[in-house]
Amino acid sequence: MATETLRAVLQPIEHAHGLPNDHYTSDETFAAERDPLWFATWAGICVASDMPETGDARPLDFLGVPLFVMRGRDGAIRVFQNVCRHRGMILVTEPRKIEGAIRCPYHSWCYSHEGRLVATPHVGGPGHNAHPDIRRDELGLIEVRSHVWMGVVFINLSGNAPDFADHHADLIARWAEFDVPLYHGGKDSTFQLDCRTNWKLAVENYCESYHLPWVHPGLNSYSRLEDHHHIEEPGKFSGQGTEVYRQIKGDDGVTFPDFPGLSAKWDAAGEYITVTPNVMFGVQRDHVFAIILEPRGPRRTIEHIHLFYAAPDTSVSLRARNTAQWKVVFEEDIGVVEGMQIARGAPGFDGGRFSPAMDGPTHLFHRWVAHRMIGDAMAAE
Amino acid sequence: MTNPTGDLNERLLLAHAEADCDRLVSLYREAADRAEAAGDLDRGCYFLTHAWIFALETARPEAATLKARLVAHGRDTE
Repeated sequence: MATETLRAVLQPIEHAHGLPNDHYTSDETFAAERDPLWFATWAGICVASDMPETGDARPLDFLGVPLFVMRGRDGAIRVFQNVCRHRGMILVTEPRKIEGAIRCPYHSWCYSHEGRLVATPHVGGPGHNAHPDIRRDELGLIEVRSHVWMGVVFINLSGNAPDFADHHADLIARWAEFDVPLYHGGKDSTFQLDCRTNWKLAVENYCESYHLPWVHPGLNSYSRLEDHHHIEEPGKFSGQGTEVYRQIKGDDGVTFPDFPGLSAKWDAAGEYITVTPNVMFGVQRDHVFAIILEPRGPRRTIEHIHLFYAAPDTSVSLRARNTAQWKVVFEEDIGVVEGMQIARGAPGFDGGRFSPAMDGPTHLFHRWVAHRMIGDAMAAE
Repeated sequence: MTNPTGDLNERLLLAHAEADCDRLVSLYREAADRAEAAGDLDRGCYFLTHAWIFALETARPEAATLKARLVAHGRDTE
């Protein structure tokens, strides 16, 4: 039955239905989504600027999997399972700087910044720190595949997804002009929104421009519906673009500096794309933002918003104005994503229908979910 | 008696309470030195291990020296 309802999602948009209610309300379905939608893909977990200096470490819960992210002495970001290989104790419990070894607070087994097990105190008895059956070279921390792109740390927990650069080659090429240093605006350029909704509803809403004139009337004053276009790459990504991006200005008329070397296309273009499953990017000539969705169960999602600029020393007041502007926009969306969540409690709701003209990107996201849930072979039948 | 006593014991407890790794390194090394001087190598290596671990955690340069002492005593591998 579940497969049949998902087949309805895979139909051409003219006939397709949306995902059934249980994908938004059921703990069981939420758990069933973990492997195909999150662990087998490349999911965003934080921004690299959360760990600006050598030794900065930050623990994270990734759908129940304890991880920590760390910047090593070589400057590289690494992600590890937050678990000591001895008795399975949590290693890092709060964001902190680790100058030297990562010491387990339980029996003090120690690991290097690269995850190597470097000390096993008293493992052979008091004052004896080696034992022939405890081979340190086999007991390093379990590293999780990671990749930093557009300032966001992505992970592939299963370890068997295609390389990030291969999997997202089309999008990386599309946004190649933004492959320049991105400077996080700092504390005034990040905020969180706690939404009583399933994470997928946040993605669905982000993918389409159909709602803009109704939900964001302020944006619509200059950004009309007809100024937007769909961005659709089946099985890869989807979103929307605008032709009338207008730079924010300070009272003195100052603007943010542009990213260097952009082509004329970006003078008034902006693109808003979701990297499935959970990172919603926006790119414009003078700033980029990333919204990392953190599901806290089927009915709650934390949105972590980060804004990046072309220079490290942009105007503090203009950054604050920009953050405030986007916060208004994203808060306007909360009403609809929470409203759709409540509506998923209606028995017999059939997933709804899609406008063939306006909902293409949203349908592509539904198709991505349905396809991954039932697998290639069944999706092809 | 090779366990830390009196003043050294008090200083160790205080350093633990304050999570002062720098002092823990030097105090455990002092305890190790005293135990070794008293001929109690097992106790000495026990304290030396603690000094080494706290030196490792704080990336103190003497971590290598402390480890070398343990290796020399056959208490760890290279």
